[in-house]
Amino acid sequence: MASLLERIPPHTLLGLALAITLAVPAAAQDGAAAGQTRAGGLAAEREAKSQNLAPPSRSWLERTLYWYDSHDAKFQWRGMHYGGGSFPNGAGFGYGIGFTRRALGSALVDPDQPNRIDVDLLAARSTRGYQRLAARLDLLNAAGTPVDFTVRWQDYRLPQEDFHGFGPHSQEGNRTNYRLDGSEAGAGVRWRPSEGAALGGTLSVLTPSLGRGTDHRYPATEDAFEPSTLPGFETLSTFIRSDLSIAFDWRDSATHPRRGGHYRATASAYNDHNLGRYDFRRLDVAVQQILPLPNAYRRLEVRATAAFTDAANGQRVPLIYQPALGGAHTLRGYRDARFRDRHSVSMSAEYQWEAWWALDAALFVDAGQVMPRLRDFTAKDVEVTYGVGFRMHSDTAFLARLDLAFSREGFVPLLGFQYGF
Amino acid sequence: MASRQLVIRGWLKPVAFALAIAAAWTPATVTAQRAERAGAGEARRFYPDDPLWRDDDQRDIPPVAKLELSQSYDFLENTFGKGARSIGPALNVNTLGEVPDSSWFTNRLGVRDMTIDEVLRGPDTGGGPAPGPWEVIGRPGSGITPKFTIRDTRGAVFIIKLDPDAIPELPSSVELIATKIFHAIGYHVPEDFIAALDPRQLRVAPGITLKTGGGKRRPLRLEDVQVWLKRQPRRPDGTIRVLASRFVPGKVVGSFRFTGTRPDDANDIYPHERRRELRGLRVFAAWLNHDDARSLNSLDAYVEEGGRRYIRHYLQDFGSTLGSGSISAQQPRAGNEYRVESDKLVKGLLSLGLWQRPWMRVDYADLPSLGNIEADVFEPGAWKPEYPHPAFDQMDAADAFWAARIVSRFTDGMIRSLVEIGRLSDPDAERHLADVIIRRRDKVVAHWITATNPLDQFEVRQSAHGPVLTFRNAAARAGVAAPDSGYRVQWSMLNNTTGTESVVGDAGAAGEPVIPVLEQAFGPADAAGDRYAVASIGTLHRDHRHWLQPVRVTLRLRDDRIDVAGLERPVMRAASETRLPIGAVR
Repeated sequence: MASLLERIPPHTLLGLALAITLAVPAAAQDGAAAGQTRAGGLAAEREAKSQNLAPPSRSWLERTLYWYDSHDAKFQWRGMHYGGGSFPNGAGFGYGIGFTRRALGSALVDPDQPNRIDVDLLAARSTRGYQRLAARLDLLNAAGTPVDFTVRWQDYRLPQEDFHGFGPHSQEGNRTNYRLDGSEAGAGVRWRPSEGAALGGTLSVLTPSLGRGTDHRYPATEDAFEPSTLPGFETLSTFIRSDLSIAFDWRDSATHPRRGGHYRATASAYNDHNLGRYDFRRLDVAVQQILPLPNAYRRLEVRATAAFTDAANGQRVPLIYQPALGGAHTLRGYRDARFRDRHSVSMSAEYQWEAWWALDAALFVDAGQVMPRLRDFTAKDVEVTYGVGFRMHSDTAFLARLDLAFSREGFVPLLGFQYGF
Repeated sequence: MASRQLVIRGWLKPVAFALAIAAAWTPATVTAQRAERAGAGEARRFYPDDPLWRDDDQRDIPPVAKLELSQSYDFLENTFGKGARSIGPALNVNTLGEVPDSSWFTNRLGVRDMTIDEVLRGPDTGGGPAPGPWEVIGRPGSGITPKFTIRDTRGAVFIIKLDPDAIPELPSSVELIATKIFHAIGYHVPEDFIAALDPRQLRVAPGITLKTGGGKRRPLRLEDVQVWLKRQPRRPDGTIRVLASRFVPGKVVGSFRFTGTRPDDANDIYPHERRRELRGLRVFAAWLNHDDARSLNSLDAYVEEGGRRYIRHYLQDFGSTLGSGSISAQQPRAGNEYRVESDKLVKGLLSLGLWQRPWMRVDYADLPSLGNIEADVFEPGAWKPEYPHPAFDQMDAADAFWAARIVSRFTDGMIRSLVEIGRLSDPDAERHLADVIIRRRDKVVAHWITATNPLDQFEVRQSAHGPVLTFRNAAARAGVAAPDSGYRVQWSMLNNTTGTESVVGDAGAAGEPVIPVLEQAFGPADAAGDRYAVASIGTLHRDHRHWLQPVRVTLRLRDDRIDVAGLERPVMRAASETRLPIGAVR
């Protein structure tokens, strides 16, 4: 105690003594009031607290979260954000940086702004060596009309794409891999005649090239299959692709739909610009319908897709442009592009229920088949997969999904950040 | 003290019930129960100035720092954290169990009649924004409702809140209605108005900036404001319906937490979770489906009044009440489940959707300006805000009774008039909304006013045979219970100097709510010369056996005049169906 007092400066001790001298009578008076009335007691309590005031304090966690709340930090900084690359399943963990700017030059994002310009840039890579550089520029509501223009470009390196052979009877043991590199540049226009309806067309230049895969666990495709049986494997040309599409979308939400439907079809013509051997056409049709059972907390979602290709005599459809099944959207119990051929049909049915306001669960079954000719479709060759899914979402938006799918070839977990279709 | 629950089920229930009644009749227990309110080590139970009707918590205090709370932290702390820091009955009540007027609360409809005009006027000291040019002076960053601030030609500052185009009139109408109701209850609330914004009369004040998508700031332009207003439906005269909320007087110093006290405010001595008006707010919030009744929607203002500077505490931002979820129609889950309830999540997952909560089956009226509000599935006792609330979790039956009695004071006529000022253009929506509020009121009152022995309005009168104690049954008065069968009365003598009680005579019975005052029950005079007697009155009722737990009424004899000095309501029965305080039985 003595040493403590010695450490206190004399003028502080004097001040303390004066304060105590003055405070004791005051406290005694308050005590007297406190003993006489309820109000006096409360006043004394407040007087006592007034002698021990301290500024409000917040923990570091609260300060950090306050900063997060007040800076509207939505995992992006000045338009820059994480970009996963949208690589196919099996590409490994994707990482990269994206840049998105809506309504370039405007402080506010107005969906109806005439001549609104949106920009998206992406540079991403994956742990398995996949790479993507992409840029997209949208001119929305051109001249105040419901017409949008798009210009886009991408350069990609996909070094470990799978190929098991053509047809519904391709074998799991025949898994091989090849490299697909290329770039695409295109421009498109979309007209929205009414809410939910859209008509569009694009013109693109595609310069794909195939090469030896880098996944040494599996043979290279050209080693396991006779290259002459793989259309476009030895040489590929530059393609001019023209698309026409039509879509009707009356879902209540594009990212987390609970009712409604989405029907679309795209017709594409691929023109082999250099070699003249790979001119073909392709038609893609997709239908999604969501049926409440009987309310939006239980739903049956039905999806059907079909892709058909057609080439004139002497022309072939390159392997990489042939329809494929398997992966995150069709036949989920199989790996990406597990089945490939000239035509494909698939169907999915999901029973979905709300387990929690932010989590939906689903039981699903997928079925599908690829075939060299439409007349080759047979019920016995239809592949079936099934599984259970979990979908995280907010009140208004989809966040992530995990599908655990099973097929005769095993189990495939699928983690995604886009709605399943 | 650990925050845990005591849950008694099955065959233990009647035993516990009997023990609880026995305990409640024991004066020693009563003394122990009252010790905390009287103050640690304080034997005296009553003071000459009891009951206190005004808590002078407006003493002059030095300026305080702004306490800015994080909504994310508030959610995490209350969902996964320890919740209330203090557990026990409300501390800021007077000896009659009422909430004295303070910087938090002003007794209005609960203690006096209010005309409908008075209720409709609410906190308003003037009108809404003056006609003429409005100058945009900013855009608040907090909250989710689209809004900006303006200054009118008189210099008054308002927050202008816009109704999202998908739910026209909904947030503005419910916010106005709720503001008036919470004011009539007694809370401090901002002055809200439904106003007509004329886009042609808007100006932008110089120096106001806007953060662009690239993160830079640039001057706000009138075109920017027009973008905010672009989707707002126009009236025939070109104006836009908005809610104008006047800035509260004084300097905003943040929000208040629903637990603990402000360490820099000498006036703030009651832990907030022990304030009856904050615990009972749960009843009002349930009635109006105010699921967003959290700290972020409170406001502290450092005001100066009569030469004294102090903090006045407001409730604000009622955009998420009734059928509105502020930016959309209310989520049907709101009011029925917390955002995080692990047991429901697991059950929801494992049941494959076969288990559907009752609220999932509600078929809401298809009226956009009404949103999602209903009264059929609504259960007052099971109602929940968005996430656990430390003061709501501490509400006991006495708090709930206090609140329910105030709710019961809102007449059908008041409610219909309140809905009218919401100015819904769809008469069906207006009628439906009023009906729903009335039905929810009836449910709230029926549930909470019967949760404890509801005897009230105690008075001592002179009769031909001497003084008698008269009272009424609030539940019967509200029409939610049949008349009582009778009463059981036990008198005790209170020595107010020592705080001890001793039973006088045997328990008696009464068939009517009139009990002769037992003059020999008055204890010795205390220092003020006052003498006290306690009547413990249990109510016999065929539908509510728990009403046998007595209301304790303390009478004071002063200068040959007897008045009611104290009233304690039993809180042994669970007031809540979730997160019960220790000692609660369900």
